[in-house]
Amino acid sequence: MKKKLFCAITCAALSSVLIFSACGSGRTLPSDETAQKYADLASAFKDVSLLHEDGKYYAVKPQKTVEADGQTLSLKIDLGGIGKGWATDKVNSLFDKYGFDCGYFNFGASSTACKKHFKNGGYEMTLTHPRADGTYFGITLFDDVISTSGDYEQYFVQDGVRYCHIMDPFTGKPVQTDVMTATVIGTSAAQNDALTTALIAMGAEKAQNFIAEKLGDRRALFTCVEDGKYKVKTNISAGQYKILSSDFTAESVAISQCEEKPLPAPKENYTNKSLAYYSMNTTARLVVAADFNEENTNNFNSLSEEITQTLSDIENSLSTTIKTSYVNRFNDAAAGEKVQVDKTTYEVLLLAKEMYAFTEGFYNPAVYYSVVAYGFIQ
Amino acid sequence: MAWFWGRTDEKMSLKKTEQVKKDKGFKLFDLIIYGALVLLVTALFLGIFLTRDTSPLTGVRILYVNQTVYEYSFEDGETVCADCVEKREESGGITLKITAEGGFNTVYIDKAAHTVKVTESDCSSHRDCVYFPAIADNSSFISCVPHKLTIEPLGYDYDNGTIIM
Repeated sequence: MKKKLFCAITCAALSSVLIFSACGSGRTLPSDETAQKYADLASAFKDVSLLHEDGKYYAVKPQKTVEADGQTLSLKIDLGGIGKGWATDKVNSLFDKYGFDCGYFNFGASSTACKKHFKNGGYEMTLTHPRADGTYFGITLFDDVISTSGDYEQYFVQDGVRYCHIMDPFTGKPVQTDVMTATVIGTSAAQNDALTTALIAMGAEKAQNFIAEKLGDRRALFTCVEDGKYKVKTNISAGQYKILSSDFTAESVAISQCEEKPLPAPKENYTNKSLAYYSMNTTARLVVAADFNEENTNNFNSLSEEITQTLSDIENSLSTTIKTSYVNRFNDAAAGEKVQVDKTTYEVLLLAKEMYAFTEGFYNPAVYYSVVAYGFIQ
Repeated sequence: MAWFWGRTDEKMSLKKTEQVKKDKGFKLFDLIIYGALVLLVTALFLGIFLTRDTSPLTGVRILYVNQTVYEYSFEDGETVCADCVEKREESGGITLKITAEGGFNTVYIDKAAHTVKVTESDCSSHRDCVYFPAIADNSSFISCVPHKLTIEPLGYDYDNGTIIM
């Protein structure tokens, strides 16, 4: 009897690729000069001030404005990039709160928090090939978080140039680096979301140095084209992963301090339950494996309710499509205005600023105008 | 010069042939290597091809926010049909119009081919779900995020140990 080992959590990536590659031609793209103005404005993200006064949270918009498209533009942000990771971290802690040690929470192709697998001990995480069908990289994980970004997720080709949804914060245009994908494992999915975006924007040479110098506490990898060949560059020890595609060869850039842990034993009497959540334009999937006695069944129901509430709260805080979201209140405010935000928006902004500084500006959530101009936000 | 090199190559090749003739067909070490290669290839084949659940589709379940609104088995027929599902039976299959979140998805169940596909939707300008390949076996599903719909094979296992990112 055939045993199922294939899990197809590829909806978001697949649909995005299909759509953006299908309707890319014929877009009106901003001029280099306009894109540079967007980038200049984005650089003011470092000047966003965050205040916590009398139990209330505030974000102060920088004074900087630019003249573009016949308008005066003030800074706008899109925290969707790390919002999914933020949600993944929250759900990861909810697993612990309700006493579940097996299962996973997956936010499309972006972030996953995995606990133990009730039969195999760990989950086989496989990464989608950026230029062909199938996967190229596999690693067994448990009690960990992983985030990945790629230029293949949303892109279009126009006049022979490939434009992806990841913006270069220094040019205001889609990144044109030699890095195709980046993946970071460990610590925090929200931080990893920011790091993966930054690694792609850096390009291979800088990304390689950045991993070696700054990411010793996590496992990281990126794919690039070198001498016409696909390469995986990683700080993960050779024995800990598998290259699943003959298109790729692997090269160590430095070795992370993360050691491989022995796989946990299989669990007796465990079965699984699965639920889907629809948030931040993505289908998220919760799987919990446990001995579903009455107590665990009640805990699962409580977990599910709390996840629904958590995702709804995060979306109401960070969404750029919900007009009344706190991010949109900030975006709609005038330059220099002090805007009251909720705790989630405050905390995510705080993290975004930390990651901006840590990545030397290569992660910048203020590339909003570029993302809109290139058609990645409608 | 070419002639000279040609002669040398010929001599070398004759020498090698003689050497090979003297040698045994397979040395023990060769057999171990070949055996290991055969095992590796077999394991990869089993791992990659046989473990994927490509068994024929037996039926589908359509869920709206985790609630089953329609269920169909190719053997037993329809088992669940909620009010939000409008159904039209045709000779070759069943067309379903599912109304959810203020919009609709049209799903076609091909009874002869044992496939299921979203054929129409007003979910967004992208209509991602319409571009998903038809579900033809137990290894894939279709998701419509704006309408919070998932179409999955009956008995689909989300916890089989592998997660694709």
